[in-house]
Amino acid sequence: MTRMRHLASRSRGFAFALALLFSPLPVFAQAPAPQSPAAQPPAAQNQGTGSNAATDRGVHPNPSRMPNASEDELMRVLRQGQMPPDKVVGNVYLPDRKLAVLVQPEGRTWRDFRVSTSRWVHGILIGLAVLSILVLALVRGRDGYRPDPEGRRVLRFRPVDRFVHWLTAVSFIVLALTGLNIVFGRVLLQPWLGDAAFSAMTQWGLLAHNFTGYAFMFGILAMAVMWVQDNLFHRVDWTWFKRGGGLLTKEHIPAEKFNAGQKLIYWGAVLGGLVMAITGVLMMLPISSLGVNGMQWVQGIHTVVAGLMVALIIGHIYLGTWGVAGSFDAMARGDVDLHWARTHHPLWIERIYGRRRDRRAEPAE
Amino acid sequence: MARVKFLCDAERCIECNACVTICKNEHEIPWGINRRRVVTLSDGLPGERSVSMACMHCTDAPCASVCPVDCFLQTSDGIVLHSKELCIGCGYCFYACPFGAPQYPKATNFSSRGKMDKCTYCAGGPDNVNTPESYALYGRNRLAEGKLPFCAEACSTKALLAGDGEMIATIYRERVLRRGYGSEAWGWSTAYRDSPTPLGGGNSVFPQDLRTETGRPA
Repeated sequence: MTRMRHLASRSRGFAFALALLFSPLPVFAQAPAPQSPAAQPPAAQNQGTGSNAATDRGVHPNPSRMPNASEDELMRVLRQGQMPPDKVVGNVYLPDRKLAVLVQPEGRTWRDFRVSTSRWVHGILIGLAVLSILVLALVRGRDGYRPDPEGRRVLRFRPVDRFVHWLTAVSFIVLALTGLNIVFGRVLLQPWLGDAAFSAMTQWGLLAHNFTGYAFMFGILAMAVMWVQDNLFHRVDWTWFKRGGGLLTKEHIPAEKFNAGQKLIYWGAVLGGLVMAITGVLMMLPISSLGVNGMQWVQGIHTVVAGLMVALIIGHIYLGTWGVAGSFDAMARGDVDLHWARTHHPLWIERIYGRRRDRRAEPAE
Repeated sequence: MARVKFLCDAERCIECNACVTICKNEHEIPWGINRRRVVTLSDGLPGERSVSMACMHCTDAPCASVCPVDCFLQTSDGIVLHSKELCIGCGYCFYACPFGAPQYPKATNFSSRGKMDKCTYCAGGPDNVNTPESYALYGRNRLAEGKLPFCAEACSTKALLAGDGEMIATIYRERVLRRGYGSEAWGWSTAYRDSPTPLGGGNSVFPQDLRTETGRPA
């Protein structure tokens, strides 16, 4: 690379020296500085009209070989050598290695992502999620159920399950709101709140985001371990998918403890949560751990996956509360109505009864 | 006042680090923070170049654009300043900056980022008050004393130029024409979207339509 750059700059120098032969130096040195780029014809035009007019103006006769400080030009020279094309790295006599990056044009791409793309991605995903629950609510309405006449209930989630769920849920809400504030706050909230109040809020939000993240990570890991055996996909789930889960047809497709849609939410939360955890921890570490381009990728992944998870959880919250009557009991009280369970998760009830038939015991309590 | 800019002539920089040292000294910048640094390309090889790099006070500054709390402002001279009262230390400006200018002190033992620090073009803080508190946060306001940034004043070979964009571009043009080669004004066109060499304008007017969202009144 050095060799090439060296040669390139020398050959440009040589071309320029040739030019000097045809035109006296004082003309060059005292040529008035162009007032503005608009006042000066573009280089391409000079090329066609011949060198005479160009030299009179103190401009190099061959503009394409004229030395200029255009970054593209410098990058082109660098690309012929060993320097990575995405940035210019040198040596710096400071212990902070990230300072050795002289120019990183990737920043432009990331800026576009941050200012525009990420907001569109979040807006579209959240919009789609809200739209789909509206469609569900309007087309299907609330999914009611007849309670069991004898009032029998069946245990669905142990206290430890509910603890882990609500730990993850509350931390997710905090993380989502503080995270969305980073994406949209400057556009939506700052004009209302004013600089000082908005900045203070965002500062506390960032702190909350960073600390709540650990609770969320714990919850995700606990869920991954505790619920994985009930969330493995089986043949019945394929039937559920083929019929679209009966979401719009109002039919109840036989399901295990979790239906295929719930399993999707589980895997979305666990896998998405793991990605969020890894990228989140990386963003909390000093920037030098990954370099600036690594950090751009980490931030981009964190933002996009966050949008996907928020959209997923909007659907989850709807179906777990208003959308399906009786389902909120599962996480609020831990047990559900037996008839509700037979309607929505018949295979699960069969399994429990099959196991307990010998003892003739009630399913729960 | 005119649009002020930085220009580092890599053909002249001898990597003496006087700009780095005098900047740290003038503004009493804490350990671990470097508002300016000298990067050497192809160190020890033919064609070695050194460039003194700091915040270039870009036209249409990326840092200001990506900031979640919009803590940046650009003065009518084109100087990009940020408010440490508003900054939350998220690190986004560092991801966007082409020159790696934003720096973050370690705020805790977990190395979390404190409020961002960067070159102020020796213009003090954004609120334009010359108090001890402002000095502690942003450093000396040399512009208010009628002086240029100390890094450029201290440069032993006058590789680093600061001042009116058109004036320093003219000086640089004359150098390039005299020596007949060398387009080594690294970062100029990325930052200012024009060229300091004879083909470009090197305009001294700060384009009002490219001002960042919050501009300090002239």
